[in-house]
Amino acid sequence: MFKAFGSFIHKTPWWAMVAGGLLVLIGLVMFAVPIQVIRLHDSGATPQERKAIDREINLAFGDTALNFAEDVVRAMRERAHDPDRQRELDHALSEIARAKKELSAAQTDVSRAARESAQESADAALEAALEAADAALDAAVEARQAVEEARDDALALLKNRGLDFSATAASFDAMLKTARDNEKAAREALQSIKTLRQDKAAAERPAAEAPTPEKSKHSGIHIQIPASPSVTPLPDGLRGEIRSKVGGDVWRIGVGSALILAFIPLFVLLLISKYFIGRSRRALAVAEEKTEQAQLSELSRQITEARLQALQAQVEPHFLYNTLANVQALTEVDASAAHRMVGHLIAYLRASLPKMREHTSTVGQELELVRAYLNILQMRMGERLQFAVDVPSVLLDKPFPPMMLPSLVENAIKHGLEPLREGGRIDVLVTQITTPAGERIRVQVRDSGKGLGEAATPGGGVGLTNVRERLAALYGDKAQFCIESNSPRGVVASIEIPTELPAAAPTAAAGAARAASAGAASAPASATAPASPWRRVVHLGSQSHSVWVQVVSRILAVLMVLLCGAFVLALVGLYTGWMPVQVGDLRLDGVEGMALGSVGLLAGFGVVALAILFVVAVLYGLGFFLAALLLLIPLVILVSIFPVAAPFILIALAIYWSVRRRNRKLP
Amino acid sequence: MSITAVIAEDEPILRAQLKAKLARLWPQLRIVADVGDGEAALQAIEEHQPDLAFLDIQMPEMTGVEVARSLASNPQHKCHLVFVTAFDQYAVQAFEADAVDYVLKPYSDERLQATVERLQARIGQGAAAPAQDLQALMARLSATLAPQAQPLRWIKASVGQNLRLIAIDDVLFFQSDEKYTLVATADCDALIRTPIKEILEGIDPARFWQIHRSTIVNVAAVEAVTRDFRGQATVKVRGRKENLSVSRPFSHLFKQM
Repeated sequence: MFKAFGSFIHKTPWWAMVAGGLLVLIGLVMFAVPIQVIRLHDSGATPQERKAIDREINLAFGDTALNFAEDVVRAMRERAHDPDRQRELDHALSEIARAKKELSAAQTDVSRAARESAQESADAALEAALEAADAALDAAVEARQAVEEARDDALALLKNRGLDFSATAASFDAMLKTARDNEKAAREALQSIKTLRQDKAAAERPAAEAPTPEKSKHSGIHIQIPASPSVTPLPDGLRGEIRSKVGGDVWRIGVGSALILAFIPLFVLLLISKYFIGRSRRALAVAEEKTEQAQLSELSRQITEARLQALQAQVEPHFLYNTLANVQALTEVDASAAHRMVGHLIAYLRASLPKMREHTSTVGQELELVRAYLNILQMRMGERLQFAVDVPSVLLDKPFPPMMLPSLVENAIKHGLEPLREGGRIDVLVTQITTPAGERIRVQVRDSGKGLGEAATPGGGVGLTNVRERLAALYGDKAQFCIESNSPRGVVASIEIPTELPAAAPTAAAGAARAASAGAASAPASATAPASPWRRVVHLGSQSHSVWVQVVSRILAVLMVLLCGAFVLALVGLYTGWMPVQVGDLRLDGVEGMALGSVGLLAGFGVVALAILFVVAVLYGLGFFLAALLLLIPLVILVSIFPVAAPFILIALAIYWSVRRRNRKLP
Repeated sequence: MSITAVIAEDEPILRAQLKAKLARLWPQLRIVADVGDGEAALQAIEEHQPDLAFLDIQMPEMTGVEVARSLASNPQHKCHLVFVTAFDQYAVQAFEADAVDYVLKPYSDERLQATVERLQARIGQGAAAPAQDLQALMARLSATLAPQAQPLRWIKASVGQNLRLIAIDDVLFFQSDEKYTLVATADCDALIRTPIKEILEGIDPARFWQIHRSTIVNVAAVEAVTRDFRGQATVKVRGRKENLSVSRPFSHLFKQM
């Protein structure tokens, strides 16, 4: 999973990572913006309304903070035992209570202010109404007088002409009556406004509306007192909405800022880890390339050796001549034995010589070869060799790579039995075994000879190496080759191969070609110590530096681990209540204790971690400083004694030179 | 006084044949002992102080050459040595340069006859075996017969109670502590007593890299190299759980090319 994550990070391009990080950051910032509150703030239609909403928002914030503080202090107060402390906390509580009162007072202030402003405007309206009413009265009086004059004039005129004026007089009277009514109404209105103004209670009523006097038809004066503004108490629904929205925003601000705080270091960490993952992946690629080259060269080497091996005569001259010597000797003393031996030799040669050109053989053929070989040796070694070959007949026809089994038997004779005066026995066992990987043939050559422990060297093991490499070339990792000590003594060599022959080493040719194309693989420099003294000094310096870095980084790691352990322990203690939180001499437990304790622990952790980092950084620098001093001091000494030493050095040089000259002249 | 001889030959048929042939060609020669291994040969020679010794080279316990060396270190012996050996080109070259006799198996009666005559002549002159030359010859012979210093290909290591030969190519890494060196392969952990320094001398530096004072890793088995924030590299080996740290002096091995 980590690997998948690592490769994901590795594959993401830098620009995408940075852009993604910035986007996430912007998203988080957007999330943390108290958008509801801002929207609320802008929702007011008039400045007064906006002001009121602002106040309400502030109040809501203040309320939330005060409530929390009060809860905490009250909890502390409940657990406080020391009277001084209690008094202090009581004081704090009363302060909080006062703050709350002030806050609510501010709230009522808002309403009062609204009311005052309403009153002011009502007064103004009354004043205006009064004036209007005055004007209306004046107008009504003038209108009545005008009607009276007009009636008098009209009646006099009619009377002069001798016309009947009764109808006209009646209509004028009606008009006059209306005018008088108007005048009376205006007067009444004026009166009522005046009483209204005098009546203080009227001011108490919010949104007081001045009575609109009935206007005279003629004057057309229209008086309206402005409606009182809605600054005063917001409707309860709106207030509730504001409270809940502020609550939501407070939560989002909290969560959002916590996320931002967590995200920024994480993001930085991600970038750093991307950098290092990139570095390590590149190193890995280099290592893989080198490994591949090594494998290719190794494979081609194996193939070449296997071919060489196949070309070499398998029959050892030493074996052949010794056998022939025996045959020769036997012809003189025991002709039939000589005949038998020659028969075995013929069988051996016949079985082994064509093998060099063949790619495969069978278990049966290989065992024939082994039998012929062992028969010859038994005749030669006499009592010193016993052997047995055990094979189920079903396996005789199974394919088996040529000349491997004889190699093992020869090895057992040469390194196991021959060095022993008493000789021993050899058992060749062929069995079929079933493994999870399928049916396999196992061939074991067990000897009771000298064993691995006493063998002088593992004989260079050229024969064994050949067997191993040929097996690897033929079967890859599907074949097994194992050489172990036998009990009570001797060696067991076993080969395990799949029952079915693999496709004839297809990888070999391709591998060789690739190895060739890979060309001269840069031989990696072996890690040898640098030669010159100066280089040795530098080498030593770098080594001591690395030791220093190691020491410092180990100290850092140990301290950090200890710190983390302490932190975790403290947290566990805190949450299980095993370690109570103590503020002064006041014990806190419960949720408040946990919250306060966690914050305290976190802060402490950060401070101590920073301190450790600082100290380690100083130590690290100190290492460089000391190293520089170590280098500098001898240098300074050398330079300072140079003037004194210079004549001696010159003399020494002169002596050296003259000696050399003399030496050169001597011969 | 008759001339005495000791025959050392591990193959009974050949021993009997040599004995029979010598009896026929040199009837005066008295075979005081015929033995089948090097140790017995040395014992018989010390015991009987013969004039002649016919030594096979490939013998159990001690080779003929070793027997001869041990004799040469003691100047009291005046034993003439005849090596009887099967075809061995290098050994024959070594013999031809010196006055020591040798008989190549299988040999004819004529060849043995010639040797017998030469020996008779030399004993008649009373010439002692040239001890000094013999010493030098034997040194040269053991050098040619000793297996050439080969690169280390097999490691003899204990796995549990058993000893096992582990092919060097199967080793994924070596890691030493104070006492032992761990030989880690894909399927077993084996222990050897050889320190890392000695292992380094015997292995191919192109295929095994030392990555730490106490660690050598098989390059072909490296699966992953990771670096931590300090640039400290660790190597993961195929088929193993261990993370091997690369110490700073060796970290250049994994630098980019």
